[in-house]
Amino acid sequence: MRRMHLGLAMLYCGLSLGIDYPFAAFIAALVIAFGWVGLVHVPMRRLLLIVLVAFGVPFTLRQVQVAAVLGVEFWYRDVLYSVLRRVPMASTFFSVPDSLTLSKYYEAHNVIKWPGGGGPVLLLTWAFVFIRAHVATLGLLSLPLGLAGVYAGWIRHRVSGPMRAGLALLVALWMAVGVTLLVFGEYVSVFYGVLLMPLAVHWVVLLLGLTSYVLVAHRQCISSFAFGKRRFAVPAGALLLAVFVLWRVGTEVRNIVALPPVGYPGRHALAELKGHSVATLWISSAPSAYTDQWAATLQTARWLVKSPHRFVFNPDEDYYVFFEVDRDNPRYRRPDFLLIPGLQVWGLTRRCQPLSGWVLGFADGCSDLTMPATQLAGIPLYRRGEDFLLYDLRHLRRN
Amino acid sequence: MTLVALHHWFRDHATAILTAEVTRSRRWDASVVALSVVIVLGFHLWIGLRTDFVPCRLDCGETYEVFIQARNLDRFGWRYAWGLQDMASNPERNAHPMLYTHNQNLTSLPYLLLLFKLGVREIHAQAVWFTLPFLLGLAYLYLAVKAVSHDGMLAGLCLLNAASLYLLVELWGFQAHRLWSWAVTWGMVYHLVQWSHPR
Repeated sequence: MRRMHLGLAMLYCGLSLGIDYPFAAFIAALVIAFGWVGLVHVPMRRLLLIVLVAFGVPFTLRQVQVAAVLGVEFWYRDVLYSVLRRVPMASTFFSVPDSLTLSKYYEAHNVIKWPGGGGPVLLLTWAFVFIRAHVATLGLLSLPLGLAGVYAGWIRHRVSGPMRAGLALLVALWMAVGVTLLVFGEYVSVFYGVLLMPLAVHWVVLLLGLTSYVLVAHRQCISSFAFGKRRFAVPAGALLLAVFVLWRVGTEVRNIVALPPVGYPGRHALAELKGHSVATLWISSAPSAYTDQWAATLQTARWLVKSPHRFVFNPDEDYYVFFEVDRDNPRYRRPDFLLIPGLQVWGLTRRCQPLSGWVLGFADGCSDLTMPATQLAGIPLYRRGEDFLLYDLRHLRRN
Repeated sequence: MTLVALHHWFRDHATAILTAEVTRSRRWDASVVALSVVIVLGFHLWIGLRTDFVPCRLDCGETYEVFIQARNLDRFGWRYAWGLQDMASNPERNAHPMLYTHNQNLTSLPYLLLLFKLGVREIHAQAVWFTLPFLLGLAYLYLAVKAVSHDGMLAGLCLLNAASLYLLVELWGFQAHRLWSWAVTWGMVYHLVQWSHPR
C-alpha cells in the first residue's frame, strides 16, 4: 500500500509537467516544502531523490523525443533559448537573439515560437500584480486575511490540534507559490496572476477553509463589555462568522454579476461553416475547432483601414503565430470568412473594465464592435450577434 | 507596555484562538461535504448549460488548442510527429506538423485523444467529460486536507470554500488544460502524506 501511494504521488508530480513548467516547479517546491515544515517524516535527501526521479524521468524522455524528431542541434538551442526567455534571472546574465531572428529560426524548423519573455527582473512588480489580481477577485478583506494567514503560519508551532497541521500546509503552499513566482517571474504574474489561472488558489482555498474552521469553532463565543454602569454581552463569534459568510457570498455574487459565464462568441454560426477558412482576432484554434479547416489570427487591426482589396493577406506579415506548415500556399492569402469576436483583444475599443481591469478575462463583454462594424460596412455580413461579427469574404473574391 | 510585550500578548491570544477545535461530529462533517457537492454540481451545471460546457469568460484558448492537437493525433496517428503536439489545423496532411516542443501534455491531450477514440468527437461533447477529472481533483482536496489535519470538518470547510469560488475554481473546472491542477496538486499531497504516515 505504501508503495502504491508513493507511486501515485510520483505520478502526479510527473503529470504536473503536462500543465506547464512553472506549475511543475510549484509541485516540486511543494514536495520539498513538505519536508521543511515537517508534514512528511522523510529525510530531505529522500525527498530530493523523489523529486529528481518523478520530474527527471518524464522531462528527460521529452528532451530525447524532441532531439530525436528535430535533431540535437535544434534541441540544444531550443532549451537554451527557452530557459533564457522564460527565466528572467537567467536572461540577465546571457542574451538571446532578437525576436525576428528567433522567429525565422523556429519557422525554418516548423516549430512554434511563443511570444514574450526575456524581460528584466522586477520581483516586486510581479508580486504586486499577482497579489492585486487575487485581491480584486476576493475583495479587500482578503488582504488582511492573507497577512493574518502568513502570521498564523509563523506561530504555528505554538498552536495545537488540527490547525497546526493545516497551518503547516498553508506555509508549504505559500513557499511553493513564492518560489514559482521568483523563478518564472512575469509569466507567473500574468498567467497565474492577471489571468487567474489556478496556482495561488490552492493557498487561498486552504486559507479560507482554516478561517471558516476557526470561526465555526468560536461561533458561541460571547464578548462582554461595560458601557457606563451597564454591562453588555455581544455574540462576537456568531457575528464574525456571519460577516465572513456575507463577505464570501457578496463577493461571489459580485463576480458572477461582473463576469457571468459566456461561451466563445459566434460558435453556433461557425459550426455552420464546416470546411471554410476563417481569419479572426485572438486564437485561431477556436474557429478551427468548429470549421475543421485552417484559420489565422490577424496580427493587428490595421487591415481595417486598408484599401478595398485589403482582404488579401500576407501570412508572414499579417498573421500572428500562423500554424500551417505550407505557409507559401496561395490559399492562405484569402480566408473565406472574417470573424470579429467581442473579446479583449488589441485593436478593439473598451467600454468597461470589470474588477478594475486588474484581472484579464478574454470574454468580459466590454469590447465594443461599433468601430469594426462601421469600417467594414461594405462587406457582406454573414451573421451578427451581440458579441461577434462574421463577414463573408468569398463575395470579394468573385468581384 | 513595550512592543515586545505587546507582541507576546497578541501572539498568545492568537495562539489561543487558533488552537480551538470544532466538536467532532460525523453528521456535521457529512452535511458540510454534502452542501459542497450540491454547490459544485449546481454551479457546474449552471455554467455548463449557459456555455455548452466551454466557458470563455476568463480563458478557453487552451481548451481549443488541446482539442486541435488531439484531433491531429486521432486523424494522422502518432508516427507522423512522433507524439509531439501539432498545432496545424488544416485537415490536409501536407500542412502538418507545426510542432510544439516545450512541455509534453500528459493530462488533457491523452484524455481528449481517448474521448476521440471512444467516439466523442465534438468539442462541447468532450467538455462534458472534463467534469470527471475536475471532481476527482476536488475529492483529492478533501482527502488531502483530512489526511494532513485528521479533521473532517476542516477538510469539509476547505471543500466548501473551493466549491463557492466562481472565478478562481468553478470556471477553471471547464478549461481542458488547467482543470487538472486540482487532481495533480491535491492528489500528490494526499498520496505523499499517506505514504509518509502509514496507518
